[in-house]
Amino acid sequence: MDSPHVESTTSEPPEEGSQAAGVREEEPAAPGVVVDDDDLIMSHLPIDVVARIISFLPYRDAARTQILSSRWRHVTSHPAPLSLDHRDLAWPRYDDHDVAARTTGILASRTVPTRRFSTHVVHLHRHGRRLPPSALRFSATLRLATFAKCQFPEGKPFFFPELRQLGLEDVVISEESLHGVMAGCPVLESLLLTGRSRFECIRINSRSIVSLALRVYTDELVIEDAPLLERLLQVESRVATNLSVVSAPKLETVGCLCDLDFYSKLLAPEPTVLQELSAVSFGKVVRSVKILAINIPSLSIGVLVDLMRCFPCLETLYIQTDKVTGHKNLWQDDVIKSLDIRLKTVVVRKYQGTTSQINLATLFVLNAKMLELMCTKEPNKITSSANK
Amino acid sequence: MEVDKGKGEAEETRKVAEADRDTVTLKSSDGKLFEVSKEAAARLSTVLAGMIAGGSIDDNGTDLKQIGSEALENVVDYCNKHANSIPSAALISSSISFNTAPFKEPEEWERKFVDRLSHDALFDLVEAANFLGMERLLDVTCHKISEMMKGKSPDQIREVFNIKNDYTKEELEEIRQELAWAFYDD
Repeated sequence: MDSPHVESTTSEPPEEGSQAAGVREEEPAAPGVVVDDDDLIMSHLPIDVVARIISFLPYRDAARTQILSSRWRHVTSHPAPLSLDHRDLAWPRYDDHDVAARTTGILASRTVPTRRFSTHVVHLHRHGRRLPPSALRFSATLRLATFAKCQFPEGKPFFFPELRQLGLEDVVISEESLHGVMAGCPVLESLLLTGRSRFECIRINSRSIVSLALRVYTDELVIEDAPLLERLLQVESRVATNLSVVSAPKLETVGCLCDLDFYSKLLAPEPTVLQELSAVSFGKVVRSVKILAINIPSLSIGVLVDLMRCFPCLETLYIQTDKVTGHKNLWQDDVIKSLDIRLKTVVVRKYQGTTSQINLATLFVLNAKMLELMCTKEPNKITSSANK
Repeated sequence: MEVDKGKGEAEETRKVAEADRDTVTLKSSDGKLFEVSKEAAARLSTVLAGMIAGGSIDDNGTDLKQIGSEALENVVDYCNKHANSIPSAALISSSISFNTAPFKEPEEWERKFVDRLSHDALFDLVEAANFLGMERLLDVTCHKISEMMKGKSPDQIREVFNIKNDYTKEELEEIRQELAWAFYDD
């Protein structure tokens, strides 16, 4: 061994058993005999296959393979994606400043193509929460990215040709930048967006998006063109009161539609003049949606009828409400009776047996002809009763 | 036609008459024949899919001169197992997972499949998967090899994979400095 001081830093005991179990030991070379045909196994493999093997290693292990032999150094500089996770970069003896310097060192080092990159922004830039430009340098190969707790750069071009999954968690980002990000990810399949930024209108235009999960304040959410969108999830009740869908032919799951302003309206000077939730305005009847969740504290019968008309092929409905307004005996409402409700499963969440909730449950039991399961969920337990 | 689960048959005993079969016959470099479901082969291997679509499949055994019989047996075995396995919840799940890479972790049976392989057989299988354009099998086998490397010192990895250190002392020192962050805290 040429450099014992290097190797002495990596002194983990061999993992007995864990990898030896299914692996036959290689014939050991006789001690002292130099094996000329070195790199016997790896030398057969094409370089992109070796790069693929390395891509499954944590970033640190991957980087360390450079020291194995000159061929491995060559492989590691080969443009194959690597994985980098800040949890692999455990430097307990360093303070943030050192970690920042070292992370910057990694970013600047030769092993840039990255399969997975995760680090706290404080590690990147100690005295600011702006996302530094270097964080975007992996853009050509990155397939999954999460940016969290930072301010997103404004007016910077954002192009991730390979990115499939993007999380923007607690980021500060402008409407314009958000739309720029989506435009710059031509194969993006999943987007998670959370944060305190307040948007006026989020417009979704993506030929590739399948899943969209939001937890932000926005006055309006417009799905303009999303031919592959299947799931629209609004995590927690912070989201748009106005959702419109122009084109999303594959949309199957919609939830949770919430009346965001309900509680602020309650605090208004004239709390009795509650405006109705104008939750959903769909360009047309949406037959693709099968699962819907709603959380509307004060649900008017009109809104419910609109929803049932809007989603005629609904199979599962999750519903959470404190009060239902309308006919005294809802199930006798003529409009309700005229509807063709095809629901198979109804789940009433936070069920406390109020008159409104009983009313609602009765409505579905009597009018949903195909109902198979009515499920009431109390805050801490589940009870259910089969209807058919 | 019964699917041959990997046992090679002598060429001369094989008589193939059906024109429209639901299996394809593959011939290893050492002349052994294997049968595999056409559907599974086309689904799992871009190369075989291309050959099937292009009509270049030989009913008497399509020559795969680059693949030895042991590796081909494993390829065929993998295809058959894959055809029979029920996709796990993880593979068909519609839930969003933002913290996993697009690579799906190996299934239990896939783990067992690669775990039982000898060192040589595993690497031969990697080569065969690469040659046949079997993306998933390549991922599963490469993932297995990466697990064998994980957490090991360079010396240990060199030993397991028989890699010769061809660096000079100066070169090693240079790399060690460049990668100080990666070697710091073991």
